[in-house]
Amino acid sequence: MTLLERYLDAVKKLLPRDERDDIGRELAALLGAEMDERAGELGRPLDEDEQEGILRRHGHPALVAAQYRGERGHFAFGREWIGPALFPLYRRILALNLCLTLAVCVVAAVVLKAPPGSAFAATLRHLGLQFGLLTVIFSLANASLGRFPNLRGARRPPGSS
Amino acid sequence: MSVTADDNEVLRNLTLELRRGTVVLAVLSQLETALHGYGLRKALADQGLVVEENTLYPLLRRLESQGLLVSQWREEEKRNKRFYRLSPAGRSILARLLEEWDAIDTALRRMVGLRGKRRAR
Repeated sequence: MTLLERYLDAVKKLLPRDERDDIGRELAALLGAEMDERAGELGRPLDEDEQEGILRRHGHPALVAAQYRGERGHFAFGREWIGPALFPLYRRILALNLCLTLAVCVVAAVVLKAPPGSAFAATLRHLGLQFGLLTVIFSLANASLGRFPNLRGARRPPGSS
Repeated sequence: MSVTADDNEVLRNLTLELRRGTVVLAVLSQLETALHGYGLRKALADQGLVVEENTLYPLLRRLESQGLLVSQWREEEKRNKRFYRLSPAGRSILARLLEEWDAIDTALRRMVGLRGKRRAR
């Protein structure tokens, strides 16, 4: 599998199923044309570093897929913590998590016959904790998008960055 | 007064917003004849408007889904490429957008000109 094929696979995984093949085919043609032109200028086939340079400039697969999905949402507080690439997943998991937490807290309060005041405080505490934890996890994942994925796998020579 | 990093960030975001609308206009204006995405990017860059691939290629699909462009797969230089060109609806929208652009440009120039005179007093 070439670097381009691995890159396209990484993008396609994050696209809606019905558009995957069409966008993948178009991206393959666009990036392939750019690589052909560069190889024509150099008068030889591109090596892996040169191919990776073109893919890096095109962008992280998650960001490319987000552009095709037309995502604009983000979580910002002072600065952007979770960008459009991860925001849809963050919103979905957060909603699911908060609903489950709320349900567990309500059932626990009923079963344990907790006084309403303390049950309410405990529920708020758990909801806040879940929100904080998920936001921190997704912020860290968002920061990692600045690093381009390793498309070469085990074939990457030792010591290369 | 020195320019802070925050000012630069604000300027960067405002510039991006300003460019977002003009990129659509530039793209539509170049597609009277069919071009593939990479060829279009080069044509825009040759005329002084550099648009990132990651912005341009999804934009072409979006404009097609809005009915402003039509596309066709064709072979060029031994590679199948998707060529985009203006649809009749795209041509009419482009003409109206250009009128809008002209009106905005005229109004802004008038405002900036007036402000300049006031400052000079």
